[in-house]
Amino acid sequence: MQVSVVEKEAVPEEPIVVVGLPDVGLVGVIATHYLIQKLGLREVAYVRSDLLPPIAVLHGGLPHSPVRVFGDKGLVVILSETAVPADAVAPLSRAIVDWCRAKRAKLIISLSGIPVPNRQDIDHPGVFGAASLPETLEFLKQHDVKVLESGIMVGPYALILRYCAEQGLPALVLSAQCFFAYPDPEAAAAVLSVLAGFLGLELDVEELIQKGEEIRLRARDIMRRTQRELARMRKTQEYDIPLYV
Amino acid sequence: MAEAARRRRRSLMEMLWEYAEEVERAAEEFFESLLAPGRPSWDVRNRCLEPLTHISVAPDEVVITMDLPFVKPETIRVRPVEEGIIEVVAEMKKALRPRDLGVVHVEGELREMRCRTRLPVPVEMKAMRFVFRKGILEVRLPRKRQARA
Repeated sequence: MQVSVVEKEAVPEEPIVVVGLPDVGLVGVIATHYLIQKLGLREVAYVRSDLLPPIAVLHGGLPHSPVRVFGDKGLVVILSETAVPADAVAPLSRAIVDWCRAKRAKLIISLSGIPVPNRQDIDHPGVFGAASLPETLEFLKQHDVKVLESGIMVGPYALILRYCAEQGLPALVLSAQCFFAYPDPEAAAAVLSVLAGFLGLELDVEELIQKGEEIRLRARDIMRRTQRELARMRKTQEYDIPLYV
Repeated sequence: MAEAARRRRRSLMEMLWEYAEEVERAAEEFFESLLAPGRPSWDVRNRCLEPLTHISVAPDEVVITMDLPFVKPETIRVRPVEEGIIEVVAEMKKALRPRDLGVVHVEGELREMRCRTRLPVPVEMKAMRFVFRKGILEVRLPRKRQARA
């Protein structure tokens, strides 16, 4: 096994899983980090893989895996604090989906961004969705989320959605309009607002917007490394006009 | 005999394939080293942080954007420093310590966002214009006529 999820404590079955991996605008990373802090989730598992960069993330002087799983009360959040190397995207996505299947996850929700060239002209980023199954697509529509009817998705979320579809697992991707190359806390706030609606959470995202500048300062280096990996994944294909509609 | 020849051909193809993969890996590492010169994005000696930058080349112009969080907009300076290079400097709203950004092992202060960007094609520097919106600086430079595609 190239990638495995190691549980530090038994993670109860049938959780709702939220995934935040580095991608355009770091939307998923910023959103899941905020969610973990606000809900006070604890580390329950981590990802072990030789395909990830040889790093330890220090928190309080102690080493941690750069990809960790947090949880409590039926909610599980997967967060990566490092850019995922392009070569590791498929095995990591596969491992996450396999673990979710083993846990009989009720729903897998990836938080992401969709780059738009005119992001500076947009005050309130719109949120779009895609789903692994017709039923989950219906769930999106019931919550008034605009569906990404056509186009190309590139990266871990694309694979997680595809692998979930192959295995009949219910999964969604929520993508907020965002900057391609810059951390985008406003877009993160937008996807979190939709997620909160799905989960019935009372989540104030105002603090995320207020701390936007500080987050953008801190997120520069992970964004820089993520850009490099996105280039290797040919992420700009997401701008492509679909062949058929 | 035919089987042995086929095996030799296959083995030669495998060797070529492995060689091609090795070349590809070496090229990737080379470009990686160009992209990641191994210096931090902050510099306490010059008291500055380096912003994230993106350059796009259109048929008529070059557009450079930079993410400049936490700067005083009125202090942003954009100027050509030498042929084909522009410098952007902006003061931070307040001096930051590396510790404020989670770098606890370095003392010092960071007072500016600063970077020099090399333009990929010849441009009319005198026609440069820029705008700062939503924390993003956008610099537009018309391309020199003879250099346009």
